Amino acid sequence: MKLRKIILAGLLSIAIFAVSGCWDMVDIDRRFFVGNIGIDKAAVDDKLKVEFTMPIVRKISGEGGQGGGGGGSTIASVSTVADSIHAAARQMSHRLSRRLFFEHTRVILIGEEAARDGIEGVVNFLSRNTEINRRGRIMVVKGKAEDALKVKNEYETLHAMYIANIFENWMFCSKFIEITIDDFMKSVYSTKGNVLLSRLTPGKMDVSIGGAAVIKNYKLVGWLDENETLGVNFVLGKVRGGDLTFKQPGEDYPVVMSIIQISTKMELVEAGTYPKFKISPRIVADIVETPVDAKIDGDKLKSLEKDLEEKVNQIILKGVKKLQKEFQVDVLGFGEYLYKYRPDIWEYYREDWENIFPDVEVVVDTKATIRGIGASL
Amino acid sequence: MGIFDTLGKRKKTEIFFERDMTPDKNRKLYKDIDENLKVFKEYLADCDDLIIREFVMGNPDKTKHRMAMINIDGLVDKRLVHEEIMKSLMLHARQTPLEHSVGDKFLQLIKVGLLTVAELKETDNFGELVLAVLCGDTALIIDKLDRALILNTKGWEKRGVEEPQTESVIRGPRDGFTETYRVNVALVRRRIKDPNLKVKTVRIGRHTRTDVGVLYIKGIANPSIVEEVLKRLNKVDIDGVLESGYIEQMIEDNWVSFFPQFRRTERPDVAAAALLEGNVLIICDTTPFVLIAPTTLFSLFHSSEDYYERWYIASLIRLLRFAAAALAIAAPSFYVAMVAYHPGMLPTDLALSIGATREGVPFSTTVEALIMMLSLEVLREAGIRLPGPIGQTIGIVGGLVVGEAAVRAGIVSPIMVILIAINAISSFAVPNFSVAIGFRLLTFIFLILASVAGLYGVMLGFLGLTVHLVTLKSFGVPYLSPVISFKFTGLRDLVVRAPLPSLKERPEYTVPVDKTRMRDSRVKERGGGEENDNG
Amino acid sequence: MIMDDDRISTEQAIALIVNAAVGVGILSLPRVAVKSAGPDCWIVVLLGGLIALFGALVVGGIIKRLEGRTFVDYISLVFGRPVGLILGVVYGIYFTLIAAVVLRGFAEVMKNFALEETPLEFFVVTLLVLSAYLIRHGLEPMVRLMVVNFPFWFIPSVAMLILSLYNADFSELLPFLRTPPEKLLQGALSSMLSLVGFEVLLTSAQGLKTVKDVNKVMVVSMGIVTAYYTFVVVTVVVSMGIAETSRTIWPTMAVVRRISVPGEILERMDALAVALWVMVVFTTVCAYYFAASITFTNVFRAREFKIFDSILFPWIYLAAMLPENILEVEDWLKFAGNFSILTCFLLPIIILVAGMARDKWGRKG
Repeated sequence: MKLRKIILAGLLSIAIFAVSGCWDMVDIDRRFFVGNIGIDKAAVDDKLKVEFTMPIVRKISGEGGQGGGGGGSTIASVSTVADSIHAAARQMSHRLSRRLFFEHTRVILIGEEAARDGIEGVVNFLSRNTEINRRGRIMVVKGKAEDALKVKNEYETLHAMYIANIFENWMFCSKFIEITIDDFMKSVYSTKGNVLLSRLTPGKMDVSIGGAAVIKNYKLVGWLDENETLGVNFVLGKVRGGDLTFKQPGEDYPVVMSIIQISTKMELVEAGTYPKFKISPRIVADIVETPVDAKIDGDKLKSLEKDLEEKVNQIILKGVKKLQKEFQVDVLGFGEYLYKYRPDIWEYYREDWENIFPDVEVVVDTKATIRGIGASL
Repeated sequence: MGIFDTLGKRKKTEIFFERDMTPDKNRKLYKDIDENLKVFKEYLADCDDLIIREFVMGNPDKTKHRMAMINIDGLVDKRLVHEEIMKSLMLHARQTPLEHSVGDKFLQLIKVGLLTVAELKETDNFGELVLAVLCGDTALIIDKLDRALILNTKGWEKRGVEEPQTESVIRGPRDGFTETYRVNVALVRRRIKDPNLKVKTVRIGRHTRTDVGVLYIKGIANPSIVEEVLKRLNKVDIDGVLESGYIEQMIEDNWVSFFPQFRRTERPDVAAAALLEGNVLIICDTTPFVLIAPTTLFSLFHSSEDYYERWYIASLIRLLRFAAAALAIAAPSFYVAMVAYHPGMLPTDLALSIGATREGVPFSTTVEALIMMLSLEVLREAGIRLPGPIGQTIGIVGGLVVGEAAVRAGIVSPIMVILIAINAISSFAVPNFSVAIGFRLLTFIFLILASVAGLYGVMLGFLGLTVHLVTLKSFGVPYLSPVISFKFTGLRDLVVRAPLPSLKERPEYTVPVDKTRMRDSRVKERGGGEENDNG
Repeated sequence: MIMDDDRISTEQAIALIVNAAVGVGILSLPRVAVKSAGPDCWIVVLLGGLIALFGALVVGGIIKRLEGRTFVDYISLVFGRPVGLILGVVYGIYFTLIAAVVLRGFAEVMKNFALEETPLEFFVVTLLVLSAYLIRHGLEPMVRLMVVNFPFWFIPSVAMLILSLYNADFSELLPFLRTPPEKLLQGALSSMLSLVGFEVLLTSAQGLKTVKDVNKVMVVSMGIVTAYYTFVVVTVVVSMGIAETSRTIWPTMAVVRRISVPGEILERMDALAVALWVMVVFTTVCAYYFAASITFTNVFRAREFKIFDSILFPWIYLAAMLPENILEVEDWLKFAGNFSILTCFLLPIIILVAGMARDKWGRKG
């Protein structure tokens, strides 16, 4: 009979679910949301010292605060020495009451020493792992990642949010590399390990992100400072804003310009023994500050524009030269440009590109336009 | 409701147990009035509400026409009996010379000339007579005649036409169906003055003998659906039909389903609209709830007001209803799936605050949700049963006090309280109550599935639901029509409601004989002909 | 009573083919295409679509010649009964195999992206039970389900992929046409395997209301499938890059992992995407399961195909549980792909040619 069949099926499925179900169920209050992962070189052997920070949920919420005694940090941080990140997470289960959970991880910090040894481990971990948020940030710490994680920030409840949200400010400075884990994975694969990462410098009370870490062949080879990074960002077309300051002859007080808009074009001018590239950024800027007595008229604007162009040319060339001569690593996309747009020429250079790149000739031709002059003439 | 009591107390006699509900016509009346009354009393023995009034017609001195009037106390209109029967026969008849008329002539005289009641019938057997009396008619037995008269004096205490309780609208007619079959049919007929509106009455219920009417518009409704409805109705063999719910459950296609395969309404305008779309109405005596068949999932989400309001308002409200239905089914299960299985999907801040509120709650999220949902069901049930003011008190006490206390005590998290409240509210945003209750059940099933396998469980539930829905039919019409093929004409009046002038065709699901609903009748702004009128 | 003849209209036939074709390929096709052709991956998919369309038209030609006969009966008519039976069994095994492989691939993805600890068997059994229940009701309800579910996966999947374009780099598709032609062809062949699905119509041909429209069905459905897959491949490649796409097992999932709902309602959508993808897999499994049951029913001339619905159930389950790990699953997928070259192209061409020859010869003689 139909009724009996249905009852039977119902009972059977309930039984199946009751006996077998809920393999993956871990309630939200049984998890630790890891915010940061810090990776340092351990003192012993070739091992890594991996550090996780996570919020203590009970202390964060207003109500919980009353019961939780108020005092103490809202952030817990644990570290362990292990062969790999995954192994470290596993080791933690001996010490923690809840499961470590990476889906809300925002920041991965790699210590300087660890980065010099190579970041293949991190890359591999990230590519196999399906938990970590691909929109998180990855950067190299000048010094030890540990120190950066020790900083007690007062601004945000979450340490990871504090670091990750600094990146939101790239609209205003453009002096670090705006890169997510996703972009990092993409470029690390397509360039076979040559990539620029942001540099994080830990302070006493806060951290500062600026400049870039140059990674060549999965290994950290050196740093770019803030201005060089700005130059590189100009080439990559990744500048969204930021100030440029320069003095005009005969003035004490500098002129400050704020970049509104920029687009960069790269083109191949000549393909001799060494190719010659022309980089032409188009910049629109506002005047933010001038010397008090400066009169701004047509001629003045012309000369300001000229100086601005000169300044940008200098910045770019400085950054490019450093990458060419000091690090000899093509993270500027010259090779990529040839591969994509001039595949025939690329065939010619491809074999020996690593040796050709340092001698690539670069000309910069900036065109600047001043649009806004503020509220004063 | 005297009639049911009467029938309930009745001793079994042969005439009332015919399968086809027609009373036994073989027992003929006698010529002698005393004999007839004896038999009658046998039939209705121990029925204390029976009234038998014997009298002599006209001037008692001159005539010897004995008569008896039989009816049931409470089922007849007393005024009618006094004024139109008793007065006519006893007083007014005195002016008529009756001495010479006997037999058929006499009967004819009474029928044509004396009785002033509006409707009367002649019968020659007890079966019809007894049944008529039980239905509220008055029987008139005349001495020396083997025929009796059935006078329509139905007039029991009944509720007037009032505003329906369950389907209130802001704009629209205020009348609602009542418990009286004829009134209900009349309410529909008043809206559709068309000889093609057909009413076929079937009697169902061995004891209750309830009138069940099948209404349809010939030329619109698909004959095969009408036939199917009548066929299924005629198959029903049950002791009693007290509400249209009995009919619904006896003739529906699939009794396992959570989904009603009939629409039901208390509103004559909805019923009339359904008829115009090619549906069949089933009106059942003694209940104001009228059934509409066939039905589809989408029509259960439609309300009559959708067609009275302007189209974008109606469309928005419909969209809202569908969204509410989705919330009603899936909100708790989604929450459980995200909190217990995929917390990565929640924004970090939200995840942390949910985690913080869950801190210290002793139960798992599933159990927490189950506790809240069950207590809410109990509250709802208690609120309905209690009289108005107390019901509200229950709502306030239950909702506010207990909820707040439960949160304070740390048994449930405040987010869960919010969630379940929203879920419950949205489940009742669906206009049809039986669907809403079905959704409540589905919510539980989805919750269990989500707690077993997270979002995959929810998706399994969704797939199972759609598999069930695509195989479900209501009177041969796919339950999900018209979303069964890539044809877009039906979508105009489905999730949104297109402007009325563009709904030129009747919905497909009823497979109407005549598809055209309207011709292009809008006044064109630049039309040549119309402009001349102004000039 | 009214729409109970269990036959499908032209639109429904299109829905059937689209749903049968779009399946596991959504997640893996970008990798397959990129591995063989790099930046020319989209050309490879288009070419694959063309090849598939050719096969589909051949199948359409056969369907037109069936004239109410079942496919197996038609083969028997052309080649004689023994050959017909053998080919019928081959097709039956093929359909069963595809259903099993698709199920297994689905279970692997579920385990990787949604529920790590849940055993594979759970996924396979639950979906298989549902499809067994659905196909018992016949062709029309199954296709109806495909139609009903179509917007539920199609719109979200397109929306998600469009969302992922926020930092797309279309220059990833450069250089244009630098891949040697033989590689293009090879890539087209291997990506074509994700595009087949039209062969299920062979067995359901009796349920077609308008057989004369079969070419239209084939062209439109292959057009939809090819366009959809090209869109998937292009969006995945421009947002992930060539190099990473070719190294990721399910690149589409990696792309979905990086998007968030605008307005920060949901942090990430991979679990949701996988859940929606279940629908796609479900319809594919149903289509092949149904085709397999029908084929075996025709081979054995059984009266009710429901018998084979039950008989095939354990076999599909066992076949799905056979591979040891994801690499073996990939091998099985490859094998099933090669198998489909046989069943979707070689055999139909032979059958069509033989059928035409027989008609001509028969008429003269």
